[in-house]
Amino acid sequence: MNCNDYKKSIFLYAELSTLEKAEVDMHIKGCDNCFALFHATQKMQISLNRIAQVKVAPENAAKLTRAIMTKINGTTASKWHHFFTLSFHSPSLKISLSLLSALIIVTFSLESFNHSILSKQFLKQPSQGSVTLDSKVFREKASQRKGKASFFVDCLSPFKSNQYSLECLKNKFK
Amino acid sequence: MDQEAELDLIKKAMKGDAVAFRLLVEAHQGLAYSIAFRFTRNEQESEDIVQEAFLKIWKNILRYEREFRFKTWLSKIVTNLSLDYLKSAYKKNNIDKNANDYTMIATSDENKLEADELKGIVYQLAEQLTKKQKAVFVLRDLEQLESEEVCRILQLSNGNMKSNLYYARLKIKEGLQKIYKNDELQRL
Ligand SMILES: [Zn+2]
Repeated sequence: MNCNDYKKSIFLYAELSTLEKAEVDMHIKGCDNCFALFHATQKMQISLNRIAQVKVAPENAAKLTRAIMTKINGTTASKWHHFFTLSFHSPSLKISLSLLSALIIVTFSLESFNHSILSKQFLKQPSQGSVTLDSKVFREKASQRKGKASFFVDCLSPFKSNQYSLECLKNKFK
Repeated sequence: MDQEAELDLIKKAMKGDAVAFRLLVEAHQGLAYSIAFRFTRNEQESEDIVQEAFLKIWKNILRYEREFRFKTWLSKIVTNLSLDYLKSAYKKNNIDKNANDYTMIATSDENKLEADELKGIVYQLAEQLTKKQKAVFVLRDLEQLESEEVCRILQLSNGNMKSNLYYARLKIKEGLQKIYKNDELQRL
């Protein structure tokens, strides 16, 4: 390493490891230029430390705190934001919601299962005066109604006269 | 304030506890102001930056990452706001980039510069540094934060931080050398 390589290390002496510092120390013992640079940079660092020691503080700390808190308390919306975001981050709420949805699913499944059993029982033993919604029964009744309607169909042709239709119906009822 | 007590206050603030947050403000506003002032050299602007920084933290408190100290997070926000301010101030030419006026103060007393004068000169020389160099210089040399903390705040690698610090110190030294004509710094 030459003097130029040591220059950077001299400026960054405080940031060096113990081993690196020892290397610089060795070099400056035998190099006047680097020793002078080391001396000058250390002097500057002492001056900078002195500046750093001068505490910089707000003129009125309590006033600054009040100003900050006024701004924070003004953001009322953030309280709701905090509440909702926190609620959705909360593991206990997540578990509770999962359990609730599971409970709702189970309840609905049981309900529909019970309902289907009850419907079947009603179909087997229809109670008096009840209306039974069974497709087979519905189809039979419909075909019966259709038969009754077709009984008069040939008398009600639009191509025949009203007189003919009346005569035809009278004959049917005879 | 120890780390455990601080974490407890942060947890309370996360639940919207403004009283807990106030304690965090009281404990850290000094540091925030100090960083802002060392960057901006303007009292009113520094107070505004501190207020904005804490408001930002309050709004984003749920994003707090435990591996970072609260002061690191705060310093990072204050540094970014300060650099933003300097950028806009430079654009408006509010800050004199040609710090020639210090020469007048300096040469008025050739033997010794008073501490206040030296401080003024260093701050003015720091105005001539690049954004990164100034940030590293202010945090490491003026705020005296640990190197690792400076890297975390500025999100720089150790090598990058050291490189910026080297050029910052070199420029400050060269600037001081011009003023301390009969001083030992002149020997180089
Ligand atoms: Zn050398």
